[in-house]
Amino acid sequence: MDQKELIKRCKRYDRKAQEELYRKYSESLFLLCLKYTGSYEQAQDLLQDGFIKIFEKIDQYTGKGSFEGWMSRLMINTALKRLRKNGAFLTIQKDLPEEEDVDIEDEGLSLEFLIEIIQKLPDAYRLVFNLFVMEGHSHKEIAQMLNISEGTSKSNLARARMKLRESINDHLFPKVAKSI
Amino acid sequence: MNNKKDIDSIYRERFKNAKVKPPEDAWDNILARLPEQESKKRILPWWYLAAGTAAAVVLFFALSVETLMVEGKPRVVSDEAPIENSFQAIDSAFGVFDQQMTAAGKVLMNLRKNDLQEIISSEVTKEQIAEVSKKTFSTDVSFAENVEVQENNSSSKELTAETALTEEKAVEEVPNPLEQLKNEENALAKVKDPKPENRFSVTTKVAPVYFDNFGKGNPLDDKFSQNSSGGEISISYGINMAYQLSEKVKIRSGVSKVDLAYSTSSVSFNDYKSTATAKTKVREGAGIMLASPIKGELSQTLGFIEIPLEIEYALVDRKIGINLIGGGSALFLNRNDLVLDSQNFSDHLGQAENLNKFSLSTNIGVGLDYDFTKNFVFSVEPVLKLQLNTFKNVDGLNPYYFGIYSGITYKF
Repeated sequence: MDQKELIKRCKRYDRKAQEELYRKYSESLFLLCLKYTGSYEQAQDLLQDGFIKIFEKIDQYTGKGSFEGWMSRLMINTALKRLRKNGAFLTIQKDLPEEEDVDIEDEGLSLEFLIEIIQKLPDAYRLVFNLFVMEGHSHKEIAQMLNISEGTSKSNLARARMKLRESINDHLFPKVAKSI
Repeated sequence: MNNKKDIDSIYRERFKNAKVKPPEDAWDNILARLPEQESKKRILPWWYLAAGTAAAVVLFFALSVETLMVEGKPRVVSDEAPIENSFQAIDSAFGVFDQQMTAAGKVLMNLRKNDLQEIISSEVTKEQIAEVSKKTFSTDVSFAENVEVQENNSSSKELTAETALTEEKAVEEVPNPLEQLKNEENALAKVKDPKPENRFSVTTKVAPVYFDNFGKGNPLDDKFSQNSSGGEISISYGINMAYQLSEKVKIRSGVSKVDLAYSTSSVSFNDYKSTATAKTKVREGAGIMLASPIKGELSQTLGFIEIPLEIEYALVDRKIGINLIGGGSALFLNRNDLVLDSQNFSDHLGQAENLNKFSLSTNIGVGLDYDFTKNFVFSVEPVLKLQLNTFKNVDGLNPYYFGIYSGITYKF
């Protein structure tokens, strides 16, 4: 089935079409889930919740804009709802850390590792990092979306980057070597 | 070969088009949680059957007029072949009830299309009720007219009479017609149902309700009063208890849950955010993914626990009865949601802050009921409830909700 047909059938709750849609897009969407959550299990829950929402709301997709983009946004929205439920995830930091524009060697950094360290970030940092770096939103947009100030958004991003760099450095240059 | 990049680029490039296999049982879990395929389809027949019940409502009117006038005499209720098996009664009762409920919804939808105010003030509705009640009174209490005539005669005699004797006679004559009336009433009472013992009754009630506003304001903020907006149809359900105070008067109370919905079009997240904080509370993190200028539909859902206190006055009390209903309700707010629906998805934004937790309404309506068996009664009651103080400090707002309540009553 081509995408259009697939969507049409899903709107009619055709089980076969729903399964095919899942098979087609679950891998890329699961990566998104891993990015937006703090653990593999959370990512799994999010994937399931997200797909339920996709099937529920598919009749709201009017064909405008990319379907993958629509699904991604729904998935992210679902992630955010869960984050909200789990309490305040917005860290208010007043000061902006000094950012080092340090480039890192990216060999030896597997996808799994990058996922692992992003999942270790506090929710707020991870969220802003994803929205800015991966989805390409501006700080102004992020501020409006999350109902925070632009300053908080910039601060969270800076701290996210700092932590990620730290994790990468620790990985590439383990402390054992450093202590010598 | 050193390939140094900044952290952003590392992530962007590495994640681009990357895929990760989800766990094997993920699809099974999703499948287990997907709703039954039939459930969505059921909503269609719900409204579709409605036409049948709309016809039933009209039929009630027609039948009631017919039952009143049979060769110009009041028709006595006879014990027509009763439904032997009470289970049969319940079964068929629910069948018709189902139809009633769906048609009530359809009637409500139609009413909503035409201006509700027009309908309520329409002469047609008033006429119908007036006609029916006229016929009731003319046949039911025809002897009352006789009483009046006789009373007039005696009082005129009083005026013209000079002697004490004539006065005494006049006084003597007056009680007689009244006694006559009493005797007739007693005779009628024996024939009428319900028996004096069956004073209590319990009713389960369900209704589609339509929420709107007679005034020009908007429940959320005056800013939106120019936006097109309207009430939505939602549901009320509950249980009532009634006590028969006298032949014609019943007092009733109960408890129901009622959800009301109202939607305002062309609202963007920014518009919503800028409403005074006294009016709405924005949830933390609300509005994500709704790029602020995009406009959507803001749906407000209010939910109440309603405790009514009403009087039912019987205009017609035959196998098919007509009642006037009046009274009020106490409303306890138990649900308060604001959801913004835009093109692609919806987001729960927060709550309205301008709602009173406790409010009142005045209720007025008409009820039609059908004595299915001696103990079971069906009813259809369109009732209008004017809300008195649901909103704090909002001008130009006269909210109300109108529902067509279908009920099954058990008398005991």
